[in-house]
Amino acid sequence: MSDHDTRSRMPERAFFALTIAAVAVPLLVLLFLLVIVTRSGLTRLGWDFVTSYPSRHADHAGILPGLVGSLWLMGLTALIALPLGVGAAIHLEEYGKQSRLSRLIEINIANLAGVPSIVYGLLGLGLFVRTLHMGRSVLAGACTLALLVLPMVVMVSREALRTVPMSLREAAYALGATRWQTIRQVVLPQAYPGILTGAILALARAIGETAPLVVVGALTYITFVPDGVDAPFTALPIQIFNWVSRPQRAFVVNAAAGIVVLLATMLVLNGAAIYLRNRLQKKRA
Amino acid sequence: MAMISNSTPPPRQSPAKLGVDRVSAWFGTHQVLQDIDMQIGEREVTAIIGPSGCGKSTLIRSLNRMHELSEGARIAGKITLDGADVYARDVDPVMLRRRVGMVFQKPNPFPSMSVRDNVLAGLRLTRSLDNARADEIVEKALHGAALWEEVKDRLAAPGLSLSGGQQQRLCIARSLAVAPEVLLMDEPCSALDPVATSRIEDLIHELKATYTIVIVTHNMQQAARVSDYTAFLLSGDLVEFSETNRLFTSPRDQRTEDYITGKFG
Ligand SMILES: Nc1ncnc2c1ncn2[C@@H]1O[C@H](COP(=O)(O)OP(=O)(O)OP(=O)(O)O)[C@@H](O)[C@H]1O
Ligand SMILES: [Mg+2]
Repeated sequence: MSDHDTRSRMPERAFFALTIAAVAVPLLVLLFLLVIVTRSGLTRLGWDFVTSYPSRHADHAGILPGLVGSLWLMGLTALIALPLGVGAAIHLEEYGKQSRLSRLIEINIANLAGVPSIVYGLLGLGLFVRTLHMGRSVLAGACTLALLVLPMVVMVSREALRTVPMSLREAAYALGATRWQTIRQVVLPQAYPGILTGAILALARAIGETAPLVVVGALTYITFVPDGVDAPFTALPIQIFNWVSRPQRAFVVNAAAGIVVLLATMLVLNGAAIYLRNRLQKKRA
Repeated sequence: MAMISNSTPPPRQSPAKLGVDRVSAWFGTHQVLQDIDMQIGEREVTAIIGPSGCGKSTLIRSLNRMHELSEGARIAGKITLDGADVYARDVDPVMLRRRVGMVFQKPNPFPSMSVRDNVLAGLRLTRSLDNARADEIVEKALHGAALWEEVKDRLAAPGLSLSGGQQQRLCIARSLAVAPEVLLMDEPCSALDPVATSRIEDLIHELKATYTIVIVTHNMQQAARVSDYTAFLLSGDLVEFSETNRLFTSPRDQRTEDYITGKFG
């Protein structure tokens, strides 16, 4: 009896160990990265670094323009991509279910999510910078990033809408609610946490993007912060890339410190979104 | 399917509240109802019985035009409410559903809302609501659903924190709050235990004074207990429709007899 028990538990244990490893490996790698980066950037990390402009002298150089530029980009990207993406998802999921066209669109959106980001950069350069005369502005950069994350926002939002049980929609319809009333007051409140999770992932991806911004014309060395949507800009990853490619050793320390700032920014953004999501969920429960 | 159903509508005094006139329904190319004829009297309880998959839900859902929300759903024939065709071009299904409420098989309170907000959901969803009247409506609807005594101290608690039977009565209260004339119930007790079931059955007896009720049920004893008229549906055909007493004691159709005596289904 006990012999049989241990034998049948073997695969169970093995699988458990495997899942632990699956969690531990990426965590350890991340931890390793964090330790290395923090240690090598430690000498430069500090309030000064965050509030200073880039400089030819490594030990004076700061990351302010990159940080502010990235925050501008994030804000604008969210403002553009979230309403568009969620709106598209609502349309496809709640209104356009049957049509063959919507199925075609669905496949294409999935494909778009896999297009290399440099291609979006080129599209942004042609469309926003040149055709729409936005110039090499933070707005052009944000529009480009918004295009880049849009497929992801649409897909995740659709997934979130799909998890709302049909029975709730039917309950609303049976009470005499119109489709829009049902979506706005019953479906969306249920889907918000899922949508927000998608938004976090999408923005986390956007904040790390470098290539499309370079193509769109982000500067690599600026000594001011953007004062409007039409201002030239730089972003954290671009600043980091710039420092890494300098021959002087001292700039590599700056790059490491920059990476820590980038990670911290991402953490703060994610934290804020998770906090928001939990509050929404608490309101539901 | 060529069988002609011998479902001569029983004689009635009052004019029909709901009229079902040669109604057929489809999902895609699959026909699930064939030429159904029924007259449902005002303030009567009409039960629909029949084996699983025979089209009970489809029939009841066509009465408040919920059927057409399903993908590929289609309907033919005529359904009237107070003599007016509910499928007429100028009828807004949304307005129809405010007159013909529905309670579903599985209790489905809105998870994000409190008990109170669930009751008010129909009014909030569809129009603005002044708060003074809200309290009154909540109490009246919960009384109507025989739930007031149990939840009056926890109106702010989430709707999902109630027991299954209470949730189902909450859903009934939610339907009552929009003041419908007809209440459709699709197996309202199938997810409930016997005690909760008998509470709902008692409730149906009370509601019948005010509302016209159509109830789908798998449970023949239940149909016998709560309804005035019973319709027996078999694979999309209305086999027999008569006074409940009569249908259960002296069915006219052999298939009805086989079904109610448990020979199949
Ligand atoms: N959404 C749908 N799409 C396609 N076919 C459906 C759909 N809903 C029901 N059907 C089919 O229509 C027929 C009648 O279904 P219906 O739900 O009306 O049966 P029912 O009598 O209510 O059964 P039950 O007692 O199991 O609830 C069944 O054959 C079912 O497979
Ligand atoms: Mg059914």
